[in-house]
Amino acid sequence: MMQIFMTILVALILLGLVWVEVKRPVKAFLFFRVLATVMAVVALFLIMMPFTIFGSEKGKKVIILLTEGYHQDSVNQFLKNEHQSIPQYDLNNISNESMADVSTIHLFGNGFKDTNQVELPKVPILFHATDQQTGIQNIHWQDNIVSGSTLLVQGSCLNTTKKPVKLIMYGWNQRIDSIEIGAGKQQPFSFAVVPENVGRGIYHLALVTGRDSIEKETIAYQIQPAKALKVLMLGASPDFESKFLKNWLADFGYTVITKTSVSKEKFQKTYSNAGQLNFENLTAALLDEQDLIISDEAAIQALPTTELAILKQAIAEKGNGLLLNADSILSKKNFIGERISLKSADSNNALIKVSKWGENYYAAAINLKHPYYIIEQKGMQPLYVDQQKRIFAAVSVFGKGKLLVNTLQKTSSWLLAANKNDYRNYWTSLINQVAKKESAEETWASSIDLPRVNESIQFTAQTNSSTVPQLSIQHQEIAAKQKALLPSYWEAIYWPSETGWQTMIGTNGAISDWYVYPKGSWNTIYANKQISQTKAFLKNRVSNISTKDAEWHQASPNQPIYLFLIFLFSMVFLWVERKFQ
Amino acid sequence: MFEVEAINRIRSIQRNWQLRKLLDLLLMLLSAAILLMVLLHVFFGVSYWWAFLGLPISIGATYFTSSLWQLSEKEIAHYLNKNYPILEESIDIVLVPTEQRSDLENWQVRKISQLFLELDLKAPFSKLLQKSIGLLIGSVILCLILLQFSSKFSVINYAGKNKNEQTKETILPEIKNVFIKIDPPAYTGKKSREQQTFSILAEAASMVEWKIETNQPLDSMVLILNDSAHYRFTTDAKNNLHWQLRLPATVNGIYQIKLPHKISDHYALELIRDLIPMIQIQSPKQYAVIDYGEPKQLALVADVKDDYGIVSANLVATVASGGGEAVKFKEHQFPLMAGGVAVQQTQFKKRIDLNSLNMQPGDELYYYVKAVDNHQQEARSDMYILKLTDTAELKEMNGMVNAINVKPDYFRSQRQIIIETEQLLRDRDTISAQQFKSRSNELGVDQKLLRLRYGKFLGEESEGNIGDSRFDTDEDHGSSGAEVFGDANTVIDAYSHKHDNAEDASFFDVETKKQLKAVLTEMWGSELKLRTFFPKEALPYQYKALRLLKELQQSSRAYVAKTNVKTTPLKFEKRLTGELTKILPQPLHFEIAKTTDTEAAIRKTMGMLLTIQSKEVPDANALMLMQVVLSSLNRLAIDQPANYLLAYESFKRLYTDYQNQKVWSHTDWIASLAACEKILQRPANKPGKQLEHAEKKLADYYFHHLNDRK
Repeated sequence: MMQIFMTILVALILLGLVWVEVKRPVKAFLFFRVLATVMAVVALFLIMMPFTIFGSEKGKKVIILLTEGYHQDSVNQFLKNEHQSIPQYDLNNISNESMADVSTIHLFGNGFKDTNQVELPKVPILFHATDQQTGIQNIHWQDNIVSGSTLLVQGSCLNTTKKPVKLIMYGWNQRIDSIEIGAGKQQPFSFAVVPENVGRGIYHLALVTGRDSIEKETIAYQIQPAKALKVLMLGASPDFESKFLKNWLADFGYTVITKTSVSKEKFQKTYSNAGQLNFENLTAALLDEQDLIISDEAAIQALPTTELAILKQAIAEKGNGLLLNADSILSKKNFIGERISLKSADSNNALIKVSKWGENYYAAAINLKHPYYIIEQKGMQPLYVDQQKRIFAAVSVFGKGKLLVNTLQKTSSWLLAANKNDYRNYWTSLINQVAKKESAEETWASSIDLPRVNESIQFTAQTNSSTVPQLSIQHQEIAAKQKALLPSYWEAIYWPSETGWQTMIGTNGAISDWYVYPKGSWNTIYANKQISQTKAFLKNRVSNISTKDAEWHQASPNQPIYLFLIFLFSMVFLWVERKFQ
Repeated sequence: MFEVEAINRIRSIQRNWQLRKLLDLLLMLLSAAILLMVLLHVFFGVSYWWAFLGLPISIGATYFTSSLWQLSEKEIAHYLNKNYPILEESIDIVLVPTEQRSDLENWQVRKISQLFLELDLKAPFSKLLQKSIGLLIGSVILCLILLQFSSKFSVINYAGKNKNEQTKETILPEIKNVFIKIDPPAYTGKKSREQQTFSILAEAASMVEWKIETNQPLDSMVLILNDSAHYRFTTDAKNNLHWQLRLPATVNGIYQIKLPHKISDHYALELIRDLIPMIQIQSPKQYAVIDYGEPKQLALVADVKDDYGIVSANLVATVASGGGEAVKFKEHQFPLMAGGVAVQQTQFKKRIDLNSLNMQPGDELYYYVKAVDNHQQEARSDMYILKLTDTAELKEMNGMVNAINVKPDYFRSQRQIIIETEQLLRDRDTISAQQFKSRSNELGVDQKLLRLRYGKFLGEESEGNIGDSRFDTDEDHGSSGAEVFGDANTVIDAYSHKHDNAEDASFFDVETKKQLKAVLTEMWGSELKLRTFFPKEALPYQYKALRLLKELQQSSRAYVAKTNVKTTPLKFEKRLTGELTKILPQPLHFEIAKTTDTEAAIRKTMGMLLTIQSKEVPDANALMLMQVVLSSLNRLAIDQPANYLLAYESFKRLYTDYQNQKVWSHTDWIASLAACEKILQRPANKPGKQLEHAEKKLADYYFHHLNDRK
């Protein structure tokens, strides 16, 4: 309506101006004057009323292409706005004839599933993406955790309805947690649970409003039992702290070897769960076996040069971890003191309460006579801090391995005061940070986080061996393809035909499990991914298409610079003409 | 002639219409009754049997309230006249006896009788009846709807019913009925009882007799207890239909009845154990002290109770005299209960004079109460201690001289006052009354000065009535009296110092302040007695004050923790310069015995249960894991049938169905998971080896080459 009114108005103005020009007594350049007037007015009008499409010279045909997830209402609304009927085709069923002479394509729905396989003519594609639906927009959880750890399911959920909705996480018989999302809001959620089972397990997420359920999803996870550690403890003098720690670790069945200096060149060695092992000095072979070395500074200082070098090599090159219990300023002469500095806290007999970095829970207070804390440095990750944010445990990287310094002494007082949880949480997080990690010979990673049935998944493996890796899923052998530029990477494509747990057997019989979701699950997440992929693809595509054929504009106003130049020149001509009349 | 027939017709019409009206009423009554009954049943759990009572009564009432439904002939005639003009308003004349009619009336009757007989009468009340039937159908539909959703409305009564229904036992069809007689042991004093359910709750050592009647002759019947012991039933040889077995109930567990080709479910056999007697000594306290001046006696008050009866109770007291290595012990026993009559609950009171036990000051008495119940089970209370104060020891300075602390040496002053008071008492006979009084007064002043000095520590600056319990300036009023839970201020008050409050300015914590206050109270008492010239009565107060002060001083000693001491590392240059080559510390090997992996197996089973599907091919590993859980549940069911029997049964059914590739019931699956969860504790996180992805080759390559370039 507005356009018609404006057009009429402008036409009238144009006529008026032309008439004025014609009516002028001076008749020189009349034709050019009228032309300039007309061009100026038309250019100004076009600047004010931008239109979106410049057609190509090829043809004027416009089509609508429908993809998965389109809404007929939005298509109809579009057609209503365009005031013309445009043929509609399904992306999967469109023929080449229909696409001949097409000038513009309007794309409705979620877009292209696989942008690598899009074969469309080089014409502008205008993407009318489906609006975001109510549902879980994104989600993440660690699907393989150790027994006793927390399974954290986090994501965000959008509610476009007019009523509040509830997102509930539940297990086999009980509700674990829930969150209410207000009408028209998008809210992040975070559910935590400690699963009791070992092996595979399933939780469910349901998005409900009142009695209707909008979305129902499955969360598949696996729990592995904690793997045993081999720990070597060195001490310059016997003390209760190391004794409690040794007993605590040995109670889990872990192999703990301690070597404590009890006198001049005399050492007390204890072997817990170590069989008939016996050692005299630190050797590379011994350290290779160990996952973690716990020591205090004096013991490190007292090591002979050769052993110190072996220790340093084991950490830097073999990936061992060193946990240092420091109770005084570190000497700068060794490799630890060069990297980490301690500072004495001003007060003596202080009650220290530590909490894990980023958390609010403070462990029970420990009365330390001369507390020291770690000075923050680049490349260091603080693990435990006190109420004044002074660091009492921090880890830093040393070559391939890690170096952790702990200045919180007397943690055994937690055990004596029956604060077992504090003690367990503290030492578990410290040891897990610094212990040598187990690396599998070969791991297969899937390209999709939430694989669905009958949709292809690409598995990529990185292997250390030079032989061809074997892969079999559900007793079906899958052939892998080696990547040309990265010989240790192999790829395999698989189309799961069944839902549920699938067993994957790699080379040497390594078994791992993964879960295939049924068709139609995680629709919102897939839709969002598809839309963003399509948008990125189309944006990329525009810059690739050559401008040789015609001018391309994609849902953006026409370039006004040309029109402005036309207007400018016309006005300049008219002015000059007037001036030098 | 037609008259008679007309009258008959009227009468038959009357009967017909009355019946219809009655029917209509009854239909309405029925619909109302059905609706009411269902409403009452659904919302209030009223049994349906009430309907069988209420309905006849209401029907009868309706029937007998004749005015509701009865119609007289006159009314019928009136109705006919009104609705059928052909009758010319004269059908009622038919009802008038012939002899009372006039000729005109007779003639009219003759005229209309025939017409009347041919008249086609429309049944009235038809619409009404339709309405009633409609109402009945409507109320029936409503009731059905209500019953359909009744589970949502069920209230407490309903819940109680459901529980009973759940624990209904499944009995083998061959068993017609069962009588179980439980004979509790004689000493319990309980009578024998009978029951007809297989689940038994019996007193320990009672005799249980099963009498089972079958509906077909059987070859044998065996009772299997705890899946191990077999007991054969005996039968009267005639028809093998009646079986008996008598067993003493000595073990807790589960049992099954085995027939020649069938075996029943597990039933619980729970024992009510005879508990040992419970003894509680009300007074005196566990550690009591008899101060100087208090009566030397033990006033014992003890509550003893047992589930079946106490036969005897004794007080066992041991006197410990002397000290160090020369301590001597002597035991005495005092019976508390007379006679052999068993009582279930009683309170014993006994007063023992300590002089009769030859107790001297400084001796201690250790005593406890011993009770025996009628099942010869013995119980003992805790050991209680009673100490006689030794005033001589109090006055000694052992261990006190090297006490270095911030507090002043108040201890000696109180001791001095005691010494002087005793001296005064000894000199009483040799000095004049005036002198005695003045000395006593001086001692009182000394005591007052002492009291004021300590009062300063409590922040009391004014002289006067410090320590006087009549002028109790108690700062912590809030702590005594009614506790207000959740009142933040009360909690804060108990632990904080209010620095703007002069009274609260002190160095001590709450406990020390209380003790000091007690000391001051005693000192006040002593001063009072001294000033009123009763020094002998002042002595107990003084001794008590001294004892409290000594305790206070000892309690404020800081005990250095023996643990968490880090020994200073030796300086090997200066120390241990001797020959140590022959000293060889032996390596110590420890093997921590691995606990059985039952918990791990149960966790794995739980994980497996969450993912297995009905009818799938059974996995050997899964079956093995389930066997482990089954045996754990078996043990638990034997120990606690009430808690674990149902879970055990459900798990067993699930296991059998899984083994035979059958569909199992969801209830069994849920019950099995719940059982696993019940046995397990929440898994604790523990340190372990973390897994990292195999990035090694490429990452190693980069790492080494970067390092080499360094």
